[in-house]
Amino acid sequence: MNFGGGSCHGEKGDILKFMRILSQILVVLGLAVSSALFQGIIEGPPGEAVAEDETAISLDAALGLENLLWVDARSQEAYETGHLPGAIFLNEDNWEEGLETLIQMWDPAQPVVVYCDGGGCSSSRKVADRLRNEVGINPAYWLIDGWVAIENAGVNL
Amino acid sequence: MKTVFKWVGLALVSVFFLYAGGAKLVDVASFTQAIEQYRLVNGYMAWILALAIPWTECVAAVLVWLPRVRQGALIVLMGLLAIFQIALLSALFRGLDISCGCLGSGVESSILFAFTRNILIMTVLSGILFIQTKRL
Repeated sequence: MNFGGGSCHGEKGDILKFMRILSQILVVLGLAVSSALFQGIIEGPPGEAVAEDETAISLDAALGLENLLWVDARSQEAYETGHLPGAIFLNEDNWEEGLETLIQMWDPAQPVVVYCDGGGCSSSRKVADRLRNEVGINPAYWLIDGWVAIENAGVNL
Repeated sequence: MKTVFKWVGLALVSVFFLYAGGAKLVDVASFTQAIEQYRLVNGYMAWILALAIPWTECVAAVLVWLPRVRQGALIVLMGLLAIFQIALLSALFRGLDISCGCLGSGVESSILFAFTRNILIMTVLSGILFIQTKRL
């Protein structure tokens, strides 16, 4: 005789299935969080890494440099919308053309500071690295917080 | 056919997320900055995510090979991709000219490319999950 207990078994089965999947998810996340915590404790926050990076420069420090040459590593659209006075447009997309312009404008005594969109985005760091390693321009810094820092400081465009 | 799709799909997904997670773990500072570029979080929160996301990718990429936790691992990867897609869409709508940051600092990929690629991966994941679910 069937007393209609089939639906209860079905619901119980669904709950068990859900709990099983949930426990699997928790295992994955638990392992991931533990590993992340371990690495985080060992390495510490990235601000310390940026502070130790000798190729990074803050806006205040950059503005204190004499006869500085700015390099804009953002997109062409961003550059044309607005850039620092005298900044040369150079990123990895227009490397050959931009580099030619830079070499014409650059004085070997000039420090170079590269900026991009913000948060120290990788473009400025890469361009600065290439200028030092491939072209021999030293010092070539990348600007911490890039265009965000420039806008926040209200540096004259 | 389903079996072949499942194992090939698992292999592709596992390799992709192991690579993506590993590449980001090698340079957490760069990934932190990549996250900040999205202008959704910054500071310590960006750093916490820069650690948690790649570790989740790597752990899930390994655990998909264990039948006992496979479904959970696949769901976690699907959830990660869904979050990535939301962040990418957000950046697209705000006109942010940034690199995805999905595969570490060594690989630059546009937001649109990353969005499209993630849709393909989500499709593969959905297929594997469907096959897994049918077998329960």
